[in-house]
Order: sequence, then C-alpha cells, then structure tokens
Amino acid sequence: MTGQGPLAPVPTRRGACGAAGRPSARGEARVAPATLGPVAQGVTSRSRVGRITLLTVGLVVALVAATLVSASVGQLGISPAEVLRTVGRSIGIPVAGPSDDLVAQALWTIRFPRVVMALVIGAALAAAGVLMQAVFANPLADPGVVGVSGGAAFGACASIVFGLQFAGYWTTPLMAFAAGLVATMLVYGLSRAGGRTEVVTLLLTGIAVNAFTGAGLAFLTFLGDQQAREQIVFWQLGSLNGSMWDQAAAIAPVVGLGLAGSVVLTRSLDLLSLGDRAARHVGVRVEAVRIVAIVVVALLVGAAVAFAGIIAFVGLVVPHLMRMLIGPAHGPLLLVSTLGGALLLTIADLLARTLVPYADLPIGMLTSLVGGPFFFWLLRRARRRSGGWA
Amino acid sequence: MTGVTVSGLGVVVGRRALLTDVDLVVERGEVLALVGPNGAGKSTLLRAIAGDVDHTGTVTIDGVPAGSEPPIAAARRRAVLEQEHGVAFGFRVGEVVRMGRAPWRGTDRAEDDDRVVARVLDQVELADRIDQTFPSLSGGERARASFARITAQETPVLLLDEPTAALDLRHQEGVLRIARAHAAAGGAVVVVLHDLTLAGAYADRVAMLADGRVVADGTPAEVLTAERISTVYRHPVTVLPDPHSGIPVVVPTRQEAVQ
Repeated sequence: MTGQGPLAPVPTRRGACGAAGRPSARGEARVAPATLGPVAQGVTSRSRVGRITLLTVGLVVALVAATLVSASVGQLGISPAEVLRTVGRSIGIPVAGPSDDLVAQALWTIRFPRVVMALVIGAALAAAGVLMQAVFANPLADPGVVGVSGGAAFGACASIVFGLQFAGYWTTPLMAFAAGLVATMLVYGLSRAGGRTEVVTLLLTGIAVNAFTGAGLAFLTFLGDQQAREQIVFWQLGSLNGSMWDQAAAIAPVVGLGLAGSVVLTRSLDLLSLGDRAARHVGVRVEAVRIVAIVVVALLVGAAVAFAGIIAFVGLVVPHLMRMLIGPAHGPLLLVSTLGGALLLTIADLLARTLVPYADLPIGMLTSLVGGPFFFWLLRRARRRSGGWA
Repeated sequence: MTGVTVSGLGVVVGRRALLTDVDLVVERGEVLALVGPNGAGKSTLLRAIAGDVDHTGTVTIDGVPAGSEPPIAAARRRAVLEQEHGVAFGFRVGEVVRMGRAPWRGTDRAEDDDRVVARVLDQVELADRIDQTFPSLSGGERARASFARITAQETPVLLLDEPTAALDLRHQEGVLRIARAHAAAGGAVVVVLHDLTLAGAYADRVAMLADGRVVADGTPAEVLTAERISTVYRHPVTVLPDPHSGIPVVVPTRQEAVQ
C-alpha cells in the first residue's frame, strides 16, 4: 500500500480550509486530491531541472573552450589545434601533423600548469562561497568573514618577513594554509557559547579577528625590508604567474577533498535556510553541519590562497549569479558554481596575461575590478525584480 | 496513549524564571490550547516540549525525554511551527514544503513525498502557488506554507506557536480544523493561541498560563470563565454562549468604544 503514512492527519477531502475552492488567479479549477498527477509533477519543478541541465552543459562547453584558448594565447602563439595535438600525443594518441618540441615544452611546463591552477582555484573559491552563504543563510557571506583569508595572509607574510625556511619552498603556502585554518578555528571557538553559535556573534567575532590579523599584517609590512614588502604586496594582489605542476599537485587533492565534503553537506544546507531551530526540528544536526562546513571552507580557501595569494570576489559573485539562474537548491548550485568559478578564473587569468602586452597583471586586482561593479549591477537588478535579495 | 507529558517543568534564563513547576498531559487524540497574556511563558513551554531549551523537571513525547535523542529521531516524533517563518534564499513553495519531508529521507515513507506535499498544499489552499518563490508570498500565505511544511512532516505530535496569527478569518478556521483532524486521526496537538474564542471552539482542553505557571487546566467551559479571564488578562470580559453551538465566545468589555 502506497497510501498515506501511519498517521494520516486529515481525511482526504477537498481542502480542509472549506469546501468552496477559492477561484485561482489563473482561472483554473483547483486540483482535488483525487487527481494528484499534475500537482505532484509540479513539485519537482521541471523548468528548474531543464535550466540546470542546460546551464551545466553550457558551462562545460565554455570551460573546455576557455581552457583551449587560454592554453593557446600568450607570448608564444600556439593554435588551439596544436594544443589538442600536443595533448593527444602526450596521452599516446597517434596524431598526424607536425610536431614541435618547443611548443610542447612551452605548453607542458608553463601554460598547462597555470591553466590547471586557475581551474582548481576557481572551483575551490566558488564552492567555498556556496558553503559560506548557506551556513550564514546570507547571500553576502564571503569566505573572508570567518577570518580564513586574513589569517592566511598573516601566515604567508610572517613567513616572508621572518625569512622562515623550515619547509623550504613550501614554507609560505604551508604557513598561509595553517594560519588560515587557525584563524577560522579561533573565530569559531570564540563565538561558541553553550554548545551553540549564533550567526551574528560569528560574524562579529570574524570582524574582530579580521581587524586583529589586519593589524598584524600592517605591523609585518612595517617590519619587513623592501624586498619583503614587495613580496607581501604581490601575495595580497594574487597571481597565477609561475604556477608549477607540483603546486597543482599539492592543492588539487585538498580541493578535491573539500569538494567531496561540500557535496555531502548540500542537503543539510538546504534545510539550514529554514533557520537554525527549524532546521533542527526537521532533523539537522545544525552545529555539526556548521563545524564541518567551516572546516571545509578553510581547506578550500587555504588551498586556493596558498600559492596564488588572495583572489577576491569569485566566492561572492559566482554562487550569487548561479543562484539567480537556477534557484537556491544547494546540490545543483554547488555543481554549477564549481564549474562557473573554474570558468571565471580561467578567463580572468587569460585576461591578466594578455590585456597588457608583456605584463602579467595581478589576477586578484582584475577579479575585484570587474567583480565589484558586476556585483553591484546584480544587486540592483535583483532588488528591482523581487524587492530584495535573489 | 500519551502524547506529551510535562511534570515539574522549570525554565530559568539568566536570573528570570520563565516557567515554574508546570504539569501538563496531552493525550493522543487531543488538542490542547495554551493561552495566557504576553510573556506568560507559552512559547517557552512549547520550546521546552520541542527540546529546544534547558529545563528542570521532565518533558516527554511518546515517553521519550525531550532533547534526549538525535534531532532526526525527534523530527519523526514531533513537528514544530514557530512564530517566525522566514526562509533564506528564494526557494519555491513546493521546495519549502518538501523540506518537511526531510526526516523520512531514506525510509519507505519517502515514497509518499509527492503525494503528501500535494495534499498539504491543497489543504492550505496554496496548490496553485507551488512554483512561486517563498519570499514573494504575502505574510499570511507564508504562514500557511510553513504550516503545510510542518504537517508534511507527518509526526504524531504537532507543536504550533500561534499558527493563526497572520491569517484571515477563513484560514484561521481552516488551520485549526486541520489541527483538529490531526488529533481525530490519533495525533496530539499543542497550540498556542491568543484568540480565546478560537481556543474554546477547537481545543479539547485549555491550559491558561500566567507568570510562568499554569493557573487553570480543563475543558474550555471550565477554564474560559469571565471571572478568570478578567483577572489573568487584567481586562474585563463577558463570556457568552455561541447561539449555534453553545461554545463560549469571549468578548472584551469596551467602555470607550463608539456606540
């Protein structure tokens, strides 16, 4: 029997709110419980499923195209066909046509690692943005608010100024990663009271800790010699210049782990939008979900900033834009935001390399320069449409 | 079978005692209305039953102490309608109501999700709003959609905090009729109400709170007397029998009203 549950509260009848169906706005007859078909199908929001599929396919196609273009454009012009031939040859597919060792070397040692870093970091930042906005039930939340970016910047700069070398070449990224994680835990620990965290307390604690790391950063900048200052500035501007395979290999597993963790959380994140108490009432272990989400954010952002420095706005703009397109359900939102973040950063890096000849612009500057006005435009548009946040 | 038992319940926040020595029993098949002036402790009592606040004494639902089991187990026992029903982000009405089915994910009952969502939306007359976004609804429609969400949870015990507050007359009656039907089907309902006439009409029993204590607990006719209401609410009232049903109708005395 597929009927109602053990406790069917109300005998099936036409609307307990009265026998006379209110005339609906569209002038259709109200659907009686006996004919559930059309209503039941409506629940799955077919229009949204269609949009999600379309958007996913579109993003994948755009991502492949952007990757190809990014790999072919640069100081050494290489045709997309040549890029494909080089990739094909390397994975053992016999390809006809001329082979050029110089081209292959340029692609494999310079372009490809950089493209891969852009993909991985873009995906990580956008996914972290999705998680943060869900945990705070606020579309303006950004990974920065829990102190992960500030902490990471402080850690990286401390290693630069004090000339720390305990892990050799890996010291700065490791310090950035560790300090980001510590700052996040500190914010979380300080804002916990009686086994719970209030969102407002968390945000305000984040501001306090960010102010503290900001002061620390200023002090380090003051302490450092000219060369250290230069390094600090460039780290804070963000850049994918000089990306290498071992960097990609270091952050990809961390980001993969973070993305897997995010996927597990998505259903609970949907329910969190009901508010903490209501989410608990439908069975969510709110505190556990929040702790896991914040650790995952620290992993994703820590990995993203470790080598590339601070790249702002990706985590804010991408989930916001995607939510406008396909709605707020976090499963699909995470998927398309991850793709969208990877796409955005690939394009941003392409522009950073090519906008000014023989100059490698800081990518963080570029994302903020374009992201700021774009975000403002999105907000205005959303407000006009729905009188509030999308 | 017992739905909810409360004995010797005390809740203290800071230095203030919000509830003192509260005893209540709500049997299955029963609707209990909690009434009382603002700040009497009605919502706190509901939250204590829901397992949301630290308390002394004991509160059980189906014999299980409130707050003692994992959220998911509690979510299959009782559903809670809060006074505020905000939803962050633009989820559609159908999606929000479906969130009420979350406790049954992975069980056989998840097969009923579509049917239940359609049925509860039809009950509150929002079937045609299923694809509209929740924030775009009016206040009363949001309240009805939230009510639909918690009935979709299909739990034996319903805890409702002012479910009629934002509703028009028709939907006030409709929502309480659904609560009544829930009890008739074997459920237990605890509902906080401000409208004493509504409480008298739809509740099997009325518990009146004042200053964190239960001052009266019994049938509507026993509890809703003019003398008691006038004292507890500090405003004179007249209680008349409804000409059709004999149910008590509470009318505040309005000396300065325009004649």
